[in-house]
Amino acid sequence: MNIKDTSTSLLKEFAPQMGPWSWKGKTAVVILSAILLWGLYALYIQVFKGHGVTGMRDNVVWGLYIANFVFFIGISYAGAIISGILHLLRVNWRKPILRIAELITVIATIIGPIYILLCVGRLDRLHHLFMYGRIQSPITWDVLAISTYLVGSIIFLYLALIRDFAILSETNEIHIPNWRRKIYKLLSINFRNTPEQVKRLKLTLDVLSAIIIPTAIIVHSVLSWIFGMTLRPGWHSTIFGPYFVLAAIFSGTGVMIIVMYVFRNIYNLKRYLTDQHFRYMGYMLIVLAAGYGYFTFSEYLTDWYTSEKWDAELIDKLFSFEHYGWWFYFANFGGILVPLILIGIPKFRSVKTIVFSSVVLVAALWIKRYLIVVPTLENTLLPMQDLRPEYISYSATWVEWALTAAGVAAFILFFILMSRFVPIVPVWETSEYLEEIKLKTSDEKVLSEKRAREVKQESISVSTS
Amino acid sequence: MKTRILLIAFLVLSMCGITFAQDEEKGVLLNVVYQRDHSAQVVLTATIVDEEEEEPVSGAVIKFYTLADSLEVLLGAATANEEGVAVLSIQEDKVSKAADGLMEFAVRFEGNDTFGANKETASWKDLEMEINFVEEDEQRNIEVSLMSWDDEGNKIPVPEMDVYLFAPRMFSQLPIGEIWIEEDGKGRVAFPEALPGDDSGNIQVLAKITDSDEYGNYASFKSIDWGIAVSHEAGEIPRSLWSPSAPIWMQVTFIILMSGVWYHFFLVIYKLWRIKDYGKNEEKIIWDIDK
Amino acid sequence: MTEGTNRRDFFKKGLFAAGAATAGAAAIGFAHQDENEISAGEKVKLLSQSGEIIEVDKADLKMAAVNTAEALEKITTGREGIPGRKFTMVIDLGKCRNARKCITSCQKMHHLPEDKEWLNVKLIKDNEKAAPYWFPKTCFHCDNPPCVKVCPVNATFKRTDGLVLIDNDRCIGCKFCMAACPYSARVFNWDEPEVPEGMTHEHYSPETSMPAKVGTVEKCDFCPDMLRENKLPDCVTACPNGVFYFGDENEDAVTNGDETVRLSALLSDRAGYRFMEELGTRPRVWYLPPHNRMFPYERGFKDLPEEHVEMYNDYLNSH
Repeated sequence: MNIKDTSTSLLKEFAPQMGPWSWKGKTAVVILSAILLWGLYALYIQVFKGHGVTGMRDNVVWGLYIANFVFFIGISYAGAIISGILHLLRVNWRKPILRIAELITVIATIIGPIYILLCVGRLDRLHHLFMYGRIQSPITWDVLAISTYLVGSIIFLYLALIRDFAILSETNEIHIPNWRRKIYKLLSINFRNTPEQVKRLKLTLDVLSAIIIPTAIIVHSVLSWIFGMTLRPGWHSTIFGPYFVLAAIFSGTGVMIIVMYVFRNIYNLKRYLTDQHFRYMGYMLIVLAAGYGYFTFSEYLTDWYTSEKWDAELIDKLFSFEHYGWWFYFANFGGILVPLILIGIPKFRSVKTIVFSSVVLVAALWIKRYLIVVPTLENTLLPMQDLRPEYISYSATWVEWALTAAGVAAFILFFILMSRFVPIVPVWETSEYLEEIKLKTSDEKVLSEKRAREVKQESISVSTS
Repeated sequence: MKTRILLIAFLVLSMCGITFAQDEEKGVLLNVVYQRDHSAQVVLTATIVDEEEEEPVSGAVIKFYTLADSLEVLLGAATANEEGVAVLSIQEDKVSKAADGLMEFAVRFEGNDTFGANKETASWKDLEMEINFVEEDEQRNIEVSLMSWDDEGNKIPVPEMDVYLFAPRMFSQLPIGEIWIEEDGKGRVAFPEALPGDDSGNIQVLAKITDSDEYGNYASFKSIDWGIAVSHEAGEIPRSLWSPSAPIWMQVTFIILMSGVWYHFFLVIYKLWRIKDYGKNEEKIIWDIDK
Repeated sequence: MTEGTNRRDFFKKGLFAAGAATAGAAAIGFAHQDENEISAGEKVKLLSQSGEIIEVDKADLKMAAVNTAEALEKITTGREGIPGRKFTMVIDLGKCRNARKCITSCQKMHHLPEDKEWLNVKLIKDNEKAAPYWFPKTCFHCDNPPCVKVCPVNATFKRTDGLVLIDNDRCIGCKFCMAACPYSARVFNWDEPEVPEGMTHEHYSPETSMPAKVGTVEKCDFCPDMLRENKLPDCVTACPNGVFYFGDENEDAVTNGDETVRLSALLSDRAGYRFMEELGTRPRVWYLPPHNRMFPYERGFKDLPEEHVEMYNDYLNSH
């Protein structure tokens, strides 16, 4: 086994992305920064003029922001599940895609909560959450769960980075500026691959994988309980916890596939992010789509079947093409059937269809979050008799769209910057993986050659006899 | 010359105008109500409105007199408020009273720039009210008796009167019964059931005669512990979802969950510390570890 | 420091008025006087709640003022309920004709702009055969309040006297309470609210809810500052038809300003109910069914602008 040589060659391959900026990269950063600045301007307007600049009003008190919040926290599941579960199950093919998963988790967990802050009327009083916090409130649960999850995800990301930091701080194969090398050295915490260090690193990874999974489940459950703990039709549902958890894993896997595809193409990583990875992730999507479809069906079936007054009103709005029909059918049929058909039927299955299904399902799940938040708030228990149309139905203003776009831009920008600081494919672990495959294939080679020889000899002996 | 004549004419005319206006002074209507309770306070309430539109005349000074042998003795003066109501409150002993308890009053408005003077007289008889609580055959009753005086000053019962009973509450007086006073000057009504009182069950019973032509308004009260005791201590707020302190199970679950997760985080950080220590003496990455 | 002193000064100024009112209330019930005792000291004239003039001994008034001073200390936080009280409201749906005096008087009292309503009058049609009726809706001050449950900072709270209030000094504006309230009782200050002249932050108490602050939630508060003075909330006294009855459940009496009735008798005789009892919020506001209506519901359209009437008719047609 020669991990050192493999990792050196890997590093050499990644050198261009970590070196000077290409003009494409520069353009992307400029455009994304512009969108981000537009969002910051919108935020400035919102903070200084009050929330009146948004489309939210007394009935629909939450809108795009909360949908975005749920969406980002949802995609953060990529890291928790891919790295957590696959790590514990010792699935080897996870190794090259580990870093992408963990980066999605950390970045999405940082961006998500910003959206809940955008819904807060008095940002100057956030410290009240700690001074006067009540643990009966699902908001408190959320604040604590998400900050815990964020800390856990950052530690997890870091644990998987230590060995790469060690390699980066030591290697002479690629050019690394001195200041960066110093940072890598500091972050590598003297990791020299001694037996004691390896043992402890493995232990910490096991511990954190085990703990990050329940934490992630709790995070998304308490997030769903923000809705579930209210007496509102469409929200007050006992399956909301698991439903949200599953939707989160589903959308997280989708985003994961998209990000893998993008990096595979722009950094030319076909050797490491193989077709097989997409296929495996595609199989996961089928299982998740089926599970998510099952939850969706049982949720709307029970509401529709019993037809309690307010549930029925809400269902009518969701099903009717005059209101949310198109969105509803796209979100709940498109997002489930497209992956099931395109990936489920072997004839259609390819990297491109898997990525296409992912794009569809991610869009569908974003719309789904919107359809969870807004129509329920528009469906008050008492009739809304108000002459102000903006108080009756919600429509997002440019401020909200700007901040939504800024969130997506920040997500991509963050990713680009991170991919220039650390290899997007984990060097050490991928080298291990490649070496293992080599060993396995060479073993197999030896075995089959041996077998071929035996067969040959047999045939010779038969012929001679 | 011409201008001087004009000026004089103007002055004369304007003076005529003033006189004219004075002739057209509006009339006022006066009304006086008498009210007393057992505490020897007499309250006279005069209302003044303008004759035509019956709008209150605020700011009007009203003088109150008691009539002693047909002589007006000034009791005091009060200014009408925005509703045209002027109130005078005096000790009973300042009021002249005949042997049979008859009291005569006069109210006067002496006029101002807009309104002319007016006067109104009225008379009421004094009376005595007694409230008793009688329990008979497990039936609780409120009994009210009314007494007045004859020409010689002897006490006589007051018959055929309506007495209204109230229990004072926070915002108003709750009617709890009505008594018709019989020939013997007495009447009774059942005490209301299950009426909340104060901390020890005390209830004030307020008996009132209202708008009687002869006796005006009279009120008296007495309290009895026949009510339901209601604690007026500030109540305790329980541990609940809606109170400041959470239910115990919730706090316990919360602490277990949070400490469980954070314990592992700190464990990992501690292990990282150990990893750092173990690598202190090594210069380079040991690649041949597996060999 | 200055803030504290100013607030105290403000309350000192209010002290006499409040003290006088308390003494007045005591005098109506003759509570502080012994039956046979004739006070001979200096008298102060007071107008009682029922419009009667009463004189009380100045000594009594002083005593009441001292007691009120203690109570006023509590007003500064507003979190302590009025001891021994359980405020409740009964709304007689048979009497409402959408005169909207409750709304306008509430807006005047709380310095609300025209389009901000702490209390609405809805037109309700329960099913296609039912006749429509007007439905005044205040905050229900629930005993199991879903809004208070979800508040992360204890900015909205329930007091021992039953009131659910909001401390807009503490509210972070997350609007969770608004989403949680099934009755849409809460409103938000989306933009910088207009503050009446001369009113500053030092005047703020959760009991007056004034001045309003941008980015915070507010709602009907049952006018606790009035209750402290033994006065009825403004909507109750403003209603020309006596729709609102208000009182202390512990005293088993409610009044609409004109008549006072026993709460228990009213609810049992008139089949009082609570709106959406099945939600389990246990409102402190009761309704008397719209039985024997005093007005046809169309009377409620009388003084409304055209577009308003159209809106209500649209609602009726769709139900």
